[in-house]
Amino acid sequence: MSADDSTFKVLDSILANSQFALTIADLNGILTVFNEAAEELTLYSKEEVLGTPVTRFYCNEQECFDLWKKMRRCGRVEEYETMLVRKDGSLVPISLFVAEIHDQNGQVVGSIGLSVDQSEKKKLASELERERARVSFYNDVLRHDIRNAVQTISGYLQMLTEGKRVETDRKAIEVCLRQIRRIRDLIENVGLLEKIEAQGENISRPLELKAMLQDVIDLVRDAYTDREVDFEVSLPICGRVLVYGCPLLQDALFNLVDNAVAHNSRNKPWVKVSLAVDETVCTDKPEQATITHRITVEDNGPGVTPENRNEIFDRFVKLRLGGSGLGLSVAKAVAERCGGRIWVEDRIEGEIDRGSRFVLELYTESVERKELRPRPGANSS
Amino acid sequence: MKNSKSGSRRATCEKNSLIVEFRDNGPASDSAKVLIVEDDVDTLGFFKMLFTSAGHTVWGACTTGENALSLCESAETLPDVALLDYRLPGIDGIETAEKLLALDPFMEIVFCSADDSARKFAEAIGVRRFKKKPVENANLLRNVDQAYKDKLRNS
Repeated sequence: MSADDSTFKVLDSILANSQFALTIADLNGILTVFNEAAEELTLYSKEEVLGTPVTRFYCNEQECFDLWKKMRRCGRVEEYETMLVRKDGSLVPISLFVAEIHDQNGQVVGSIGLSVDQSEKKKLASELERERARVSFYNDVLRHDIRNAVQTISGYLQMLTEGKRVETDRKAIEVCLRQIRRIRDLIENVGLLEKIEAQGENISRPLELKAMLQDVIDLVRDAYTDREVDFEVSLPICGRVLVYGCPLLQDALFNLVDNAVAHNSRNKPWVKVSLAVDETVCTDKPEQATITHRITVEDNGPGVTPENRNEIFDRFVKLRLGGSGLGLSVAKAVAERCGGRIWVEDRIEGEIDRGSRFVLELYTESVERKELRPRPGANSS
Repeated sequence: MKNSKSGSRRATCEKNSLIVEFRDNGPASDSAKVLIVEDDVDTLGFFKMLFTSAGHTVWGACTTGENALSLCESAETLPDVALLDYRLPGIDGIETAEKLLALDPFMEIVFCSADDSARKFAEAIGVRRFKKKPVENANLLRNVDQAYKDKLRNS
């Protein structure tokens, strides 16, 4: 074997085993070498592209010419970030290295290009960025709201210890307790949102709604022993009401009912919690039906203006609205995790100040009446 | 902006009304008329009590910047000191401060916010009193007292 043959064998082996997509083009930009990694990256076969212009891989020809000019000026261009056009028209982010190739006399005869697929790196970078934003958001909410609550608690306690009469001392203590409860709920809700966001897998299990709603009302009642709250409950008379859903549904319902009391400054807040079950039978397939479980929480509070009806569920907008709790964001995230939906409307249409009605609907498809199956699409993250 | 014509005119009115107040009430210069803008009703209630018990007059207590502005726009005399939160529903504390200063360039502003990042915005509009929540009662009262003294000296 001659020295030249041996060199070619080594080069072939490098080309075939390279992790980099390697291409060589002549002075006219016509491809002369295209390795296996390049085939994998571009989805073109060697036969399809050899002898054709390299410009086909660029979003526009001008970019290719500019890169060529830059390479001729400097001899090489490193870590050039661009989008590569694949055979199916899709774009893939790459990092490109290009350098001149010289003959024995030092004359430029073409260029070599090495590309690395950056899509995984970009994906990870954007996931990292999202994660950072999430952590920073929760940090911000916790710090801001806890500082606010501590302001009121420590302020009142300082006045009390200095012996200053604070309206009635009892009222000051009530306010402090309310603020402490707020901090507790905030920490709880941040934990819940983290849990929902972290759980990508199917976490559904059968839940009994009647008992759950009764528990929720008891929990809220216990939280407001200092206020006279009128709770009304309307549940179906029939036996158990089962749904498939995320176990955090109880927390979501707690937030809805708690919200109805917490934001109601009337002397006697009134809250009505109802559950209704509807069955819609498919006309063409009478054996199939969609069961809708509709949970409503009505109050006689200040109502929600139409422009805020979507925003109150959005935790990122919440701060701008001046509110603090994340309760409704939790309720929305859980409803969506269960394949359901949530919204707010006037309790009496057109009369905002007569209170709100929060509605949470869950859907289940049943083949036979006794069998329950989660609706397709439910539980997907 | 701070020296706009309407601002000066209002400031003059304010000055006169202050003089009248001094004549009527004698040495009442340690009692400031305080406007509080704070969206948390519990904190708002606490501030009201704190300033009242310290002998100040709570001129107004609002949960939004918009409410505070409309209160000021329709009032004959304006508050001496405005204690503002930063994160508010609707316009934020900084915008509220700018608009209050346009109404009365001599009004003293004290920010009290849990969001320390707003400090630089406050400085950018010339407000140097910025207290980060939670702040001690004595510290907050001292700042409001000092702001009121500055108001009397400047106007």
